[in-house]
Amino acid sequence: MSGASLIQVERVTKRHGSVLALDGLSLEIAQGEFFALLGPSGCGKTSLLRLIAGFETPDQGRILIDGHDMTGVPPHRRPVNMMFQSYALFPHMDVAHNIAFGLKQEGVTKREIADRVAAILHLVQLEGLQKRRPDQLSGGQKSRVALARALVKRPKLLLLDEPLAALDRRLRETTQFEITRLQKSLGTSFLIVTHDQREAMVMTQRIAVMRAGRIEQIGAPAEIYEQPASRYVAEFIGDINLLPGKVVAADANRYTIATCAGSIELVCAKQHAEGQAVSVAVRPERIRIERLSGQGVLKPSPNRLTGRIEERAYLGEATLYTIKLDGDFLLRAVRQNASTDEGPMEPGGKIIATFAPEAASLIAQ
Amino acid sequence: MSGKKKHIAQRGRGLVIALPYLWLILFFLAPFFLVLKVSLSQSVLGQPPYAPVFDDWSIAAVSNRLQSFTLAAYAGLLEDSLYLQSYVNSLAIAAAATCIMLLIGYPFALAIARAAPQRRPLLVMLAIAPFWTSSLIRVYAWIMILKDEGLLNHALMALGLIKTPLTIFASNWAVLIGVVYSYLPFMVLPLVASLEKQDKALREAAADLGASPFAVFWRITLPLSLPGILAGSLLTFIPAAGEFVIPDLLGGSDTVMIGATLWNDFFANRDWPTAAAAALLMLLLLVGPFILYERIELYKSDS
Repeated sequence: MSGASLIQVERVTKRHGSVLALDGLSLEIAQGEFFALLGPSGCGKTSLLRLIAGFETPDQGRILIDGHDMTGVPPHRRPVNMMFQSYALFPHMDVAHNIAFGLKQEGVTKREIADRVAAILHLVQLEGLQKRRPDQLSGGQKSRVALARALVKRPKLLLLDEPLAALDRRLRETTQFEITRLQKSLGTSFLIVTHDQREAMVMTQRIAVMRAGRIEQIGAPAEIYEQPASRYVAEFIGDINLLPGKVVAADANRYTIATCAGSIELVCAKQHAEGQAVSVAVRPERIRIERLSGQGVLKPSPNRLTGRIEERAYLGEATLYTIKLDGDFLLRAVRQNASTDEGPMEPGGKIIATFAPEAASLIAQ
Repeated sequence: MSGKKKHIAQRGRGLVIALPYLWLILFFLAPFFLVLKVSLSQSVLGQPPYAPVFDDWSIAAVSNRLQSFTLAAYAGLLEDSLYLQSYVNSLAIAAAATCIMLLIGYPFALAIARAAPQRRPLLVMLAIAPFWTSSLIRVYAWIMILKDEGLLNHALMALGLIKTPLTIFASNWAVLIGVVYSYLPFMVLPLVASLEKQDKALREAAADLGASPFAVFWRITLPLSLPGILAGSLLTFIPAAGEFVIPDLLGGSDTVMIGATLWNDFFANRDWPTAAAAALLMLLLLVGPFILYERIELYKSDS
């Protein structure tokens, strides 16, 4: 975390009828940070965003923005602005008036409004569209207007509620980079809510993975991806193999695990006692496979698992193999189609799958 | 789709579209021309009480008739100050009633539109519940409330707010109350429809951008409900201006509204051409601004 914390969420609980949306959740977001709340629908991420914006009030706990307790402060007096999932552009106003709306409420002078609107239109590359009405804009343009309308207020924190869900894939990817670029150049804290793990990883510095009103894990994208704290996180973010086993030897952070497919050695920073039931977590792209007949192309590795290719799925840039290991565990391995000289491996062929001890991690069962 | 089926489908579609046109021609356009015809004729003693128009379709007779057409009935409208007074009075009462209905109906509609979705149908039903009783009986009931020794005066005097009874019954005030009471649902329903479909996120966005609850209402809710306001106002203003029963039951001798004046001319004076001309002028006064508005909207959306 860099700098002082801008947002402090302290043991916030929120119920919607009988549904517990947030369950004593605490969270801190730093000044200038790009932070993501990631989780499936119904995990409470949107509720938390709405509580910070002030549209809803916590049942218990409190939220501080820049050190000020926001309890009882209505949305229009909070130093945060939101980009809505539906964009919520005012249909009876043109682009310029939509963007100027918030500044008028502040009582900013006409001259300054004109300057700031022009500047923000330049920033989001919407010059020349001032007079358009929302129904005359494309989806991408609408998202930029929504972003500009929130940013022109110079909020301490920008809230983004699934901002790109309505865009097609290509536009979504370019917009992701644009928002990231904007965030870096402005230095404003951004808090994004998304169910798209790629989006969260591409854009943000820290991610909180949420589940049933609680935070399951907080960390940098690489940390969450490489060292998932729980089975839930591991399975929610990307594809992963979870091979059940038991710790047979633990020496500092080096472990030996007995699994149905054989013995596995790995390095894990977390503490696990000998005899504990664990899962060995390995990402498919970390596994290297070669034909059993092949003459030692791969570096020698302590983790050599033998098996047979069950299925092959061509993904374009890579090929996904499903391998039945000795002991009947189904292992997924991805091989980049970077070079054509190796050629695809046929289903039914016997293979050896290897991975480095550093490539795997342990998750308690 | 086979050729024959397609043909049948097209004919079916034509029939469905033709039905409303047929309805309008039969029950609006045809009567309209009948009234227009009468208005261009002259009053005579006899049955029917106007000079016959287009009863003989020979060319000579038609051209003869065309020459005998007269705008005398329309000129008569302008000469008779009773008509002018009736028009002004009708439009004034209708306008005042529409404004009052808007002021009462808007909060009413807002409350329904913002209620929990599962409770809305019940509230809408309650709003239109008075229609389940005959409107005549309900207007009669207002006589009992408003007359000098009626419920309202009794209540006010019992509370010590007034010493002598208020004279509301048999005045324009009573007509105004009656019109507002009778037509309020027609104002509320279009408003509910328009307010209900407003996206809640728009209000949240406005609040998020720093608008106080009042500013949210003034700059978002109200402007977005303008179509509903217009629809409700038209639905109440037009029938209120032509209202006959309410002024007849609740109004006094000084309450001259166009409905009653028309009735008098038609049945008491048997001056059908003048009554017909008066009806057409009223139509023009009521529909004219509406068509103008439509034109402006059309022009705006084109540009």
